Amino acid sequence: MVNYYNQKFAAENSGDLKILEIFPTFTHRPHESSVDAITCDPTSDKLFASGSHDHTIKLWDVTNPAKCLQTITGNKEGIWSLNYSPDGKKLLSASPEGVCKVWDPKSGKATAELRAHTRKAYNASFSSDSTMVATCGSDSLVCFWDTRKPSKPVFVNNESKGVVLSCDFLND
Amino acid sequence: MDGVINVTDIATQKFVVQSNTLEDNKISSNIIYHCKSIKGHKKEGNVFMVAGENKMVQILQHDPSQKYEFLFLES
Repeated sequence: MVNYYNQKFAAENSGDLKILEIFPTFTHRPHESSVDAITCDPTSDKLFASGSHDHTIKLWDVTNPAKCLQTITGNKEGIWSLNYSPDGKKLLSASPEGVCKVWDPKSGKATAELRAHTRKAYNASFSSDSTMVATCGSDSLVCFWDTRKPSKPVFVNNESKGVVLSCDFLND
Repeated sequence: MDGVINVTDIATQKFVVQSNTLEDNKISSNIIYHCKSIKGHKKEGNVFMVAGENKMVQILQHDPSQKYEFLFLES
């Protein structure tokens, strides 16, 4: 998987976390299992987060990648997708347990749990104003949520004929 | 159905685009693993990227007035 943001590339492969910057490449093994998700804080040119099959989310500063800023625990299974909200104040994860969670990256606490998928949740993304979240999964559903009322989806699209691996909001 | 890119209209809650990437290809499978909106692209509007089984990252544009196809920008 490759993420692109502000002329910066980050990639992961089989448990290694690689930071491919304009300048030096740094590689280490911060997680106990494969790194399955990575995302950059859109409000910062330094902060990013990684999610792993070891059930944890780790927060990092690219200028000091040897030191993990925070480890977020509390997931029953691995992290398959991570995305920051556009304002950088929330972090959104998707997990094969079928639950997507909204996290406060400062406290490391989950502020909402989005439960609607009956099978694995593959991906979750914020809308540009952070008021909506889209989630998708192996149950072929795409669920749309109001982040202010996360107890149930605003609506569910069930028109897909196969699993939905990824979703995001278009710019308009 | 592998390799399908869909656009859902939030207002109607229905698909407005169902684009099968296999239709114009000789391949039998092209699972789309990632779909990501791109902010600040030189082409304004609904620019997004998809990455799939065909080992390519493709940048596409969706024009809501052209409901049934995407504009290919680069790969």
